[in-house]
Amino acid sequence: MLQNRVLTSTLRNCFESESSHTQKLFSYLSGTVKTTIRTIIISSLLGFLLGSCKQDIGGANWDVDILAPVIRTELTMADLLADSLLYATSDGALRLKVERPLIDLPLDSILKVPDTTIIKGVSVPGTGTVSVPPGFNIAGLVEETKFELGDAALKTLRVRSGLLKLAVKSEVETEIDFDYNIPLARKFGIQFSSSGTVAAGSPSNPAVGQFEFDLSGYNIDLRGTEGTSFNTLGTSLTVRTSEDGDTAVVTKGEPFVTMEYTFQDILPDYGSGYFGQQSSNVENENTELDVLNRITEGQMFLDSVTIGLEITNAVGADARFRMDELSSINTRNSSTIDLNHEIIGSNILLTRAQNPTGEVNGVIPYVVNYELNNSNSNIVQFIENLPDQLGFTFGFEINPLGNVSAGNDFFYFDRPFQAIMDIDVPLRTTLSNLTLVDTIDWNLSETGVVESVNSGTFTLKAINGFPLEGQVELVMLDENLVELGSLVAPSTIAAPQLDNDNKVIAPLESNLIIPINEETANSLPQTKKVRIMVRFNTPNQPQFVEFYDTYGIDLKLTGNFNLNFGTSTL
Amino acid sequence: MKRFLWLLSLFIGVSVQAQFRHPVYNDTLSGYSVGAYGRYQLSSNAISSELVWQAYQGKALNRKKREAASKRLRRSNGLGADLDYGIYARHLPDSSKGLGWYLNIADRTHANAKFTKDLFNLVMFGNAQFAGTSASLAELQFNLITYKQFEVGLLKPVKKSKGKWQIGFGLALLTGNRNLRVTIDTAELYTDADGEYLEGEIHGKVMSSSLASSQFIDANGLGMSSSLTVVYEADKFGIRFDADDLGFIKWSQQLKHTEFDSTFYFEGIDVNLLGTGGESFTAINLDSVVDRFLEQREATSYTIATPGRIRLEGFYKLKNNGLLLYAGIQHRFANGYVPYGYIGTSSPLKKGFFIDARFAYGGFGSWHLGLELRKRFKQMFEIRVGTNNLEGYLLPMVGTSQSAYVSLAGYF
Repeated sequence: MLQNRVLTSTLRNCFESESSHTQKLFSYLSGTVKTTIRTIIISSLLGFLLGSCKQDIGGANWDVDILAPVIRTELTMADLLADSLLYATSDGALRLKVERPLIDLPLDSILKVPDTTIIKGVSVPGTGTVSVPPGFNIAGLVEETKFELGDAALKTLRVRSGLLKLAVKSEVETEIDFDYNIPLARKFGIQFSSSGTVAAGSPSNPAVGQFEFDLSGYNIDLRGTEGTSFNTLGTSLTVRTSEDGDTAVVTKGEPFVTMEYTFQDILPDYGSGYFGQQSSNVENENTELDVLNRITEGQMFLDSVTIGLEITNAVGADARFRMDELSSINTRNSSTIDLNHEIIGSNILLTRAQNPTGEVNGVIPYVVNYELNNSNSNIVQFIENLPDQLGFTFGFEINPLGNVSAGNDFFYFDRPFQAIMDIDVPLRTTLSNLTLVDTIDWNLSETGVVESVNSGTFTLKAINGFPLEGQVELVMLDENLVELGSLVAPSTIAAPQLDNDNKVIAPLESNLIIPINEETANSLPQTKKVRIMVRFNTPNQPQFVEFYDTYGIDLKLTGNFNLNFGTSTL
Repeated sequence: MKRFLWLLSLFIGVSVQAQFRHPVYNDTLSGYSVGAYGRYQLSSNAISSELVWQAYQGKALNRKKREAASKRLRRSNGLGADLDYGIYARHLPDSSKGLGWYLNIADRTHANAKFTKDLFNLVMFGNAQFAGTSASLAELQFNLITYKQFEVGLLKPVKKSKGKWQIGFGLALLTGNRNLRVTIDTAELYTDADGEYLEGEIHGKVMSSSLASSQFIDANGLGMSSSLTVVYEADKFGIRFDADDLGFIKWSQQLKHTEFDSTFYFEGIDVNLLGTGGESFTAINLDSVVDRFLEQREATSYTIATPGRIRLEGFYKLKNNGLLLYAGIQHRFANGYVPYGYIGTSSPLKKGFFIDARFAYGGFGSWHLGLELRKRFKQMFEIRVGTNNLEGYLLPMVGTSQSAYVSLAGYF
């Protein structure tokens, strides 16, 4: 039975438990066939042995020579520069096209509705006292609240998001009900109405009720109850004794209910009126440009660069824009190049947008386009700096000429003021030691298999269809990014031969033998990340080389290893 | 030490009756008797006992020993193991008029495998040796079975003028505990010369019943088996035909059924080294590589044959004191088993001792040297200790089988 137990335990491990990572990696190296084979043979050999000591049998091991593909990948320019950034012309020549919002001023940066809190006491006029039976109105209050919006004079506002918070404090000695309405705030044609109940209180110990209402989607007429004002919100309040309560005695002339209402986090979705004269200046603001941020060193010489700058005013108010500075910042080598172009330092008057339909989709923005190219700017040097950040300083004014629209400014949240940069770079370039670095996670050490490597070699087979010579280096790192050693010492992938037009004639195959010595094998279990460094050079420098969409490189990594394998790895 | 004690207890605590023979049919003494027996056997045609011992001790398996085992392999190879023990009671009348009977209760574990040379080499040395070629892994069979046997039978001695006959017949109820049955009909693995891809196919199935069970008396399958013996013995010679453990078990509880049915072509795991727009190293998911080959099927009852034996043996008495020469051939209905031929001699020694030595070839292994010592204490008690594979202990570097058996019998 002892044997039976050992045997069935072994078999159970193999057939009925979830497969371990180790099992799977081995399976991956040699396929499921081996998994089956291993199970059967090991079970047969070891399961029937005389002993009962599973731990000993579990320690049996032997070395095997594994020859198997490990990984494969195909790199194209789309992998190096992100697929969405590239497009091919009709002849297959690739262009890098990057569209990035340079400046995006949302409405709340133009017009802020501050949080507003108003406290009002409700009383019955006169003197003496009055007895109020259950279910009868005690008092009412009609109020107009004016928001402090500077010199802006809003007539209408649609709330994108925001809250109304009510705190009702009652000294009435019975439960009271209240209705709080904003007659000129409507959503789907229905006015804003809220109601609530506050427990019985007393002058010495008033009852407090807290209420919160969502104002999202409400269109609010801010012209007040007379329709002639602005920034004004009309509200009404009715207080009555609860039908289920008792008769209450209220002292006339003294507040028996105190209302505290707060408009909080109001974010406009649409507004109209006059926005006032406002200006803002943004200085030394930086924005990330992640297109080229894996390039750590080297040079890329470009034949030409075109940048389109599109400035859009979709706000129904005149504006003035001035770009004081636009910089290409390479933080890896601390290099900054300022853009030289006529736009820098010039005031650009942006006429108000039109909205003939009164709908957001009907807004006709005012658009100004500028083209920055080799002849009118230093844009080539600007891009050749390989920026990973763009820095800018600009000023923006709204209604610089005052209220010339007779209070008919408008804005939509989704149609802000924008400046969009459209970079267009034909990939006709010369690369000189252009170095691409990426650090990737390496989870093979978690499988346990790398610990069983005795020795061996990786073979990296590269079928290079790029007009580039590449020097590859892989460095092992621990979890703190401390270098553990070189997995692949700097090795060269040769460039294929080019024709007279500097086009690749045929891909060139290179085989890099990567020996795994004992030191490397010992470092593999500690390896948590791998830093890949590839240094590119174009042949026939300084001639420009055009890149086509058919170019790419196939990489296959095969392993030929002597592994320690055994029942302990099952 | 534990293992030694266990091994010792196997020899002295239980016993086997005469190598591979039926424990009751082998004893021809008349009267009432009871006995207990036990045996183990591990046999292959290539794997040396020394290599097995290294594995058992949890050591690194020496490459030279693995290579030596590889050299002994044929295209198709066998591996077998047995562990049996039991008790019996019987009555054999001393005249032709009576009818004898017997009861036999046994616990049996058996495993056998049939595998290719390539399979052994693949597991023991890896696939690098197959670069540019295919490893043939097909026709792989593996069977593991444990069951209890409750047997009753009749014994009939018949005396004639020129000799005597002994006829026995038994019928047994089998309760199956566990079974694992692996059948790989087609399996091949091609390794590209440069290791750039692996290509292969596998078609087969794994059926099991109650591998997880540890209950001694679980009956996850029921079956029957029969046994038969016919012996004719003249003054100088004799001949006998034996058959035992011929039957079946139908497994119906705690079943699992897994099928392999796939061809595959593996070029490595697709990764995006620079991590843009694709998966990186962290996304390497090996589960998907393995899982796609396996498919769980709804398990239904299935029937297997028990690993029964048939045997034909003749013997010739060299002297009247009991010295005899015998030879026979045996076959077993198990994959990987080849006909087992043997020749041996048995002789009485002084003080009630008997010795039996034999040479055999076949079975799950290759050549075998057997030795048995038997001591009879008057007509009351007998102890028998032996092995079919002395070579496994004396020459472990070349011997490819191990076995031992012991039996005790008391006579009334």
